[in-house]
Amino acid sequence: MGRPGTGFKRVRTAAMLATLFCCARAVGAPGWQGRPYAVVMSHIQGVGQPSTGSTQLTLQHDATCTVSVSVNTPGDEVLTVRGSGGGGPTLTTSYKITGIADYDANWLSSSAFLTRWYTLNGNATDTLMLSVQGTGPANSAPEAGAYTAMIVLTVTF
Amino acid sequence: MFRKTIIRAILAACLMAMPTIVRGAGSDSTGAISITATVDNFAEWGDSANDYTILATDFVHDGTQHTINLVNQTMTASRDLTLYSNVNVTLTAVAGAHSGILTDSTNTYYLTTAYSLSGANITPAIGYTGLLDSSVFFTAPVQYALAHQAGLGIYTVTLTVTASSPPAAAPEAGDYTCGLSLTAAWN
Repeated sequence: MGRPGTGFKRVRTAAMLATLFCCARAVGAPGWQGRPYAVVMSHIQGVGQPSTGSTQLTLQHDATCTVSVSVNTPGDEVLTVRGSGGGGPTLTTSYKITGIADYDANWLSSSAFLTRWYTLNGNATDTLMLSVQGTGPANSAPEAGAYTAMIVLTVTF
Repeated sequence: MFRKTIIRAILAACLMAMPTIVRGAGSDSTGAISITATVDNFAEWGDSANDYTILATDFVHDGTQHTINLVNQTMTASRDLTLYSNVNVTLTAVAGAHSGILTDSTNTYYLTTAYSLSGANITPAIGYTGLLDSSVFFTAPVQYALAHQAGLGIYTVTLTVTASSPPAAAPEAGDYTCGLSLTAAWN
């Protein structure tokens, strides 16, 4: 039998170590790594020619989490020539995410993409490949210019 | 002993719960992604083969006749060509087979051949309106400006060709052929 109070000291030490351990885990914060992200796509130079581009998104997570897709403003998900007047020409925009178990086998329309969410399991660092495709009409030349879109991916634990 | 067990249990619970407590249950992380696609200025003929044909049966005079059977007779053929464009373009013609002059198979006889390009948004160079003889149509000053209309990426360019027999002699019987190339250029 030890001295009185020894057990409490051991417990207190263990608790301090546990707290340090947990704090250390919190410093390497889970979430998106390497932001900001940008996708610069290939140029369209002919009718019916798609423009494509992709970027890798690194997500560090220490528990199962979900990734959802949203926009700051409705319509931001569609590649559009955005001028001061608004309502500029658009490209048919599709998305897909690959590189994870819960991947997209096919292109998703921009509206369908906004309703999609992805599950990432366990404690891991995943690399998601976000691919974007913009396509002009099949029977006319799309207006020349820079078409932009903006989406937000949110990971929830 | 009982108190130690309780404390260990609390400690174990803390160890399991701490990551969540530190991060905060239901917390999230957002990543905004900007996306940019560029459409270049371009013009493109609509026919995938870029190869159009005007047949003998496309020529007409007097409503239904597809052949020349008199002197000083003119028959006309037109062909609508689709041009996809998102930019102002200049249309020019270059003579092809038989220098763009309808010529018989012996390469000896010819029909007077004239051309024009027309269509919405298409303006000929000043002084070159209407049908132009092949001797003029293929020269440098003859250009047609197609003005791009925002949001309209498709245009119809109508090529009109006329074939005329001489005014005072019967042309040799047979098929007369020729060729030309049209170019859409932009800056």
